[in-house]
Amino acid sequence: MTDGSDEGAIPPWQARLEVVALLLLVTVAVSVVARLVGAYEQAKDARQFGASVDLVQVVRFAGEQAGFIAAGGILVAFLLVAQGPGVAPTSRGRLALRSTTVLGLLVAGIAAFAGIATLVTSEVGGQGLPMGIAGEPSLVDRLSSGVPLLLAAAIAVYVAWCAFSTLGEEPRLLFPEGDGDRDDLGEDSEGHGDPPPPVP
Amino acid sequence: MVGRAMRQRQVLALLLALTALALPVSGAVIFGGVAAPGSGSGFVFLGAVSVQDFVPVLLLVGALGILVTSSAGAAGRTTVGQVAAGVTLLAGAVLAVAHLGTAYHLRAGGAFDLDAGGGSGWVAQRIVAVATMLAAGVLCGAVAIQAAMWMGERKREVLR
Repeated sequence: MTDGSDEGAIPPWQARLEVVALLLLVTVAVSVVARLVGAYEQAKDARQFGASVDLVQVVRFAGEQAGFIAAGGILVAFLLVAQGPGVAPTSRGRLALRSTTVLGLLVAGIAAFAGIATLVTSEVGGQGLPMGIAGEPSLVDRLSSGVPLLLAAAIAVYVAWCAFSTLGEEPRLLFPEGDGDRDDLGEDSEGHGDPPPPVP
Repeated sequence: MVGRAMRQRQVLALLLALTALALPVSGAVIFGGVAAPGSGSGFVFLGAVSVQDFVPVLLLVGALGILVTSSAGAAGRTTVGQVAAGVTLLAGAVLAVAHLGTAYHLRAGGAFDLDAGGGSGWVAQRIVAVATMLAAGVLCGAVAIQAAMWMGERKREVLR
């Protein structure tokens, strides 16, 4: 793993693909926010007189709409950075990997919440139907809607974990003895024993 | 010398790019056919971006990634790769124009007025919708530019 100081040795297409990956991550993030806002507005319009907005239904509806696409988006972004023509990502690629980790966990949370809410709820929602329509979906209906969302969450979590492990940024407390590679990553070592010896 | 694996990946990239091009075009044709006379180009743009949601953008980015990684370190004339890059360029341009055009129409209300219901939340909804279209449009434009650069570099390598 290298830092951004040796970008000259990295093929130019690695850096270009990392820019595309960053743009893709921005698009996915904006899209997820848009689905959440749209679901909230829809729930606000559909609520009964004096009733408050059901946030569980909002997250569930947004997760059904955005879960699969967002999981696919972060997977493609991760592959662009990690499987690119270069040996190691540049500083821009490391930013993309960090964004993939954060966004992957966020998407996984929304998709998993939507999947679990779909499995346990008794209302029909999403899939083109307005929220709040009374109905009793069968167990098969719930499973067919909820399990794919849970799988999308699993994909997002795994991609986030892959991006995190590609960064090589293990939590400091897990390795109190330290190793030689940590200084190469630019990590600080505050509050854990003696400061590292100066590197000649 | 062009290897078999490289050619297979470039054919795959070509298929992905063709699909990414076909989806918005079909959506634009369908929506353009049902649009009321005088409604402008808003429905055409909306149709181009609404078919299969975000899938064409992912296909496009995937096509570029496969194209670039398949030819890393390889030299030689690749007709399939050039065609795939050309289709990626075209699809990226079409998707970029469609997304940016939709953002323009959403900004002004236009053919699909988000605040027609008079709800209090229409501003937030419009802002995030325009932001989504802008981000996707910039991404597709960047992919089209990268595909054009890839084509240029490969041509220069062949001439050299």
